[in-house]
Amino acid sequence: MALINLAAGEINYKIVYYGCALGGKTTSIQYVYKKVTSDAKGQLVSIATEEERTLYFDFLPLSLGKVRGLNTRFHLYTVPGQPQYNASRKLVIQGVDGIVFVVDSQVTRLDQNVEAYLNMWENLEEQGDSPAELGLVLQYNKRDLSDIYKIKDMNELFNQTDSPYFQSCALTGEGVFEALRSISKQVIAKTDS
Amino acid sequence: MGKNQTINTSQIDAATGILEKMRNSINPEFIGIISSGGLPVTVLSSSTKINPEVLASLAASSFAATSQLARVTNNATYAVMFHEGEDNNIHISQIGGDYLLVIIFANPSEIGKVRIISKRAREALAAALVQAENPILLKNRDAVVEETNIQGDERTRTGD
Repeated sequence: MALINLAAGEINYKIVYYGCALGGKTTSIQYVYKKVTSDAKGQLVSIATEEERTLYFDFLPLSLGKVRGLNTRFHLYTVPGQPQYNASRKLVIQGVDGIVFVVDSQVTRLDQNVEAYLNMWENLEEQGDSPAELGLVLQYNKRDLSDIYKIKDMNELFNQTDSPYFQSCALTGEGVFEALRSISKQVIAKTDS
Repeated sequence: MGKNQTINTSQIDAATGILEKMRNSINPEFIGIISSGGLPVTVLSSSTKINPEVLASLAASSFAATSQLARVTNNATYAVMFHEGEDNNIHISQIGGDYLLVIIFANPSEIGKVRIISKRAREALAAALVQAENPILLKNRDAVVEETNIQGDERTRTGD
């Protein structure tokens, strides 16, 4: 649900990076923070454990230009990927406009990816959202590693919504901005749908 | 995706007017309305150290967690949160279902006054912020970002 503040001349969108633990959600948002110019970004906030595992969320506000004369503010969040933090995930996705689902491409992480995908679907439906109607982008991460699934196979599993998808390596940033740009365009286009 | 939440200038003016009256009574460091989703709506602040955007995100998340805590403890809701600190104190209260009122003030002995004044103001704020009957929406569904800071070229569907 975009918040349109006409007095401030702003549209605010909430984008959530969802996916299994250690899949690259926080790394993606950190890369964005590192690369965006300082006048376009706010403070990066992380609520994490001492081991730097996301406990509640990471948060990064961005200004990404104008739409029809209104400034766009994108509020990027990540969810904690570990299964036991589902209550936190439900809170973070409240009011979400678009999701970047980050898939860990490694063969050994298939079960965790499937669990995270089903969990996202269930949590969105529980709050009355449909993944098919929300903005959704798939970011197939860790493409630089060797023991990984083919894109075609992962699309069969995770792209039930025929959404745009991107290969990425969050550590080097490859594909991260492409996914962000795609989700941004989707949520803007859906503002008045 | 739920209905967009649109706030027009007259709503903001009305809400800000109420906040200004409150500020005159309790002299807070910060007083503001944020959306329950964590976005600042209108803010009056005398502090340059408080980032409204970060504050809104954390306050809304904290309040949402408290609401879930209410469910776990079989309570209908906790409509008010208060954190007492060494340098200042935070009072957060619910305005209807969509907004929160956040007040940061220095003197902890002022809490009684803050509670009374915020309780009185919440109804007026809720009325001021009630969803516009004819929300102004973007008309062009093919809207694109006209100027962007996003780097990199968009790569369309890539396969292997």
